[in-house]
Amino acid sequence: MLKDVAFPAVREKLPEMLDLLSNEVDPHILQDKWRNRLRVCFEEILVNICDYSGSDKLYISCELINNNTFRFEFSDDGMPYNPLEEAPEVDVDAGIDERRIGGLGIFLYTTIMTKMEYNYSNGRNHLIALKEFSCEEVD
Amino acid sequence: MATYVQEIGEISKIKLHGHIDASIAPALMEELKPLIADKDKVKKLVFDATDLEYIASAGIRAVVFAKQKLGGNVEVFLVGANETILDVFKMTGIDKFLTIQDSFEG
Repeated sequence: MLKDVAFPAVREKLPEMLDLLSNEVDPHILQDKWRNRLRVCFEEILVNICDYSGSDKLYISCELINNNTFRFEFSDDGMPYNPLEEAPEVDVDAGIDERRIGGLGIFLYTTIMTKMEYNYSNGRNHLIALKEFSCEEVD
Repeated sequence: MATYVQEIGEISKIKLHGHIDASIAPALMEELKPLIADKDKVKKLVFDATDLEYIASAGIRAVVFAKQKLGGNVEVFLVGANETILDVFKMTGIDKFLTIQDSFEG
């Protein structure tokens, strides 16, 4: 379990953040595909905070609840910003020329995670992600 | 990650290594720009993903950018990608615009 582990909100710290999260979740996940998918989510979320939040620090929490559901929380002291509200729609069936370059990252993590929530409280943005696995996918 | 562009006639190959994340993807975009500027000379663009371990959305965007700018007459290949790499392409629906192969002889 990780509880509000603080990092400077800079890209240089991303490998450390990603390794911390991977070390926490990977031993529980049986398929490489899902380990990779979660890493993609973490990176997209963390890069957005580093690049756009204006916050000096970010905070990471992670816990396994009910044996098959991970709860991740990413928070920062930056200006209030709800990425879930701002996310552009991505039409995966659109032709190549209609595909927009932006929004793929948010599309990926909202697709991969089971549930995403945002709130702003106590001067912080809180992005909460729940990922429920089937019993065959976790150990 | 290091990329390099190898041009053999009308075929351009870009070798992808290691991790293509948000910090590396801009370098990939830079590699693509001369190809796009000279797009009349390119008939096939091959992304060799044999040594690629990880790709984030920033890397996918670079591939979309190339496909869009090169236009419909240029076939874009993704070669040697492992299952986790292909998974990310499939989730975004970009796989259907690429010719996906285990290897490329040309």
